Amino acid sequence: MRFEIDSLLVVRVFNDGETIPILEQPTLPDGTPFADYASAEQWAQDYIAQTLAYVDPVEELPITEEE
Amino acid sequence: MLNLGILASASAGSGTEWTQAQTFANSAQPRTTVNLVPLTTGYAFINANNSSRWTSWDSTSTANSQLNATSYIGARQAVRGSSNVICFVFGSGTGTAVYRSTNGLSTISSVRVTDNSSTFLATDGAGNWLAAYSNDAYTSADNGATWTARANVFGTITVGGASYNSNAGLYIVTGAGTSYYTSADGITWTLRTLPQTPEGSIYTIAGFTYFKRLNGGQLYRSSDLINWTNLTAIPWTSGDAWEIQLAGNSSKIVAAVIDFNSAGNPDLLYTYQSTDNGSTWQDLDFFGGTTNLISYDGLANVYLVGNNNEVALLYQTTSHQFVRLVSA
Repeated sequence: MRFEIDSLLVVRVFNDGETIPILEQPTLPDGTPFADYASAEQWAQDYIAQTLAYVDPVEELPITEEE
Repeated sequence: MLNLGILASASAGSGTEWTQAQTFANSAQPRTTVNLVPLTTGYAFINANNSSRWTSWDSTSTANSQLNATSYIGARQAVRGSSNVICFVFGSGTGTAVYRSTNGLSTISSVRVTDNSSTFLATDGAGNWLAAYSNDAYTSADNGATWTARANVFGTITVGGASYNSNAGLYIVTGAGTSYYTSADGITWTLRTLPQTPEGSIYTIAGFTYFKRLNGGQLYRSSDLINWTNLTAIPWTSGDAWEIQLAGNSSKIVAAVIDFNSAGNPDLLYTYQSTDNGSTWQDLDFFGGTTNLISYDGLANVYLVGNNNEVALLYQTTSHQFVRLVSA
């Protein structure tokens, strides 16, 4: 995953090899503006690290339809 | 097959009157695990018996009939989109998939395997769909016929609910905490923070999205999916409102408030209505049973399925009152 930050401090996060962002973050999640480029960059790095560390919940055995 | 007729008996209560008109036998009861899905002139639901076939209830003839020969035990998240398309989630684990029908559930096909039983569906009603699960999603731009994978779009949350708000023009996806995501297209998302941790389902009715707090003690509303209002005029308290289901339209929404006994089973049901999108509420009749489902048919009526002495009851709103629908 990678990220870009534009001149308005909008963070955009992309999956590898994709050109359409999966995340477009103009502020912090609570609506507070990013203070500066460095804070936006740190937030983006943390977000990607946490996303990459995500583990799917354990799934149960499958069931299927019956005729 | 039951031949059902309207009895139209009134029940006592302090609020708006309920009138009984139809029940379902045990073998035909709607299950608790799937929404009522509106058809052109009635509803579809999954039976409670072991066969669990999709069954329709026709609001004009009051008859119910099996729609499809295949059993879909545990089908859930059934949503009706445009052009009579209905999608629902069925299966578990690696067998979970999105199923789709274009003819009122008479024929059904699996259209997208999601591999996750906690898959939540939403549609904008214009042919675009979202299937959200884990921290991933599928989107469809052809009314659910084909789907495109959108990996990692929900970052660190595990999806617990999804909806589409027409006023905001946004999808909303919630998880177990205060973090939630919004998106106009289901592809690019923005992470936001709720004022409180939601519990249970989120509901979007006529451009307003609602979530409740632990034990139903609070109800929050938003029309833009950014700003949230704590609806302080709710008539229930955290002590007697453990589960709340909402349904309705722009004129009226109905809250089914369920109290649970000490064993954790549904005990009592209270119903309320609001004609100002939840700002104020009026007490409807006390209902002696418990509710399984409440849904709006997209036409004119709110329907409520209750359970009284293990007999499922279907209730209907009219423009001025509730009508309780009961069989002979």
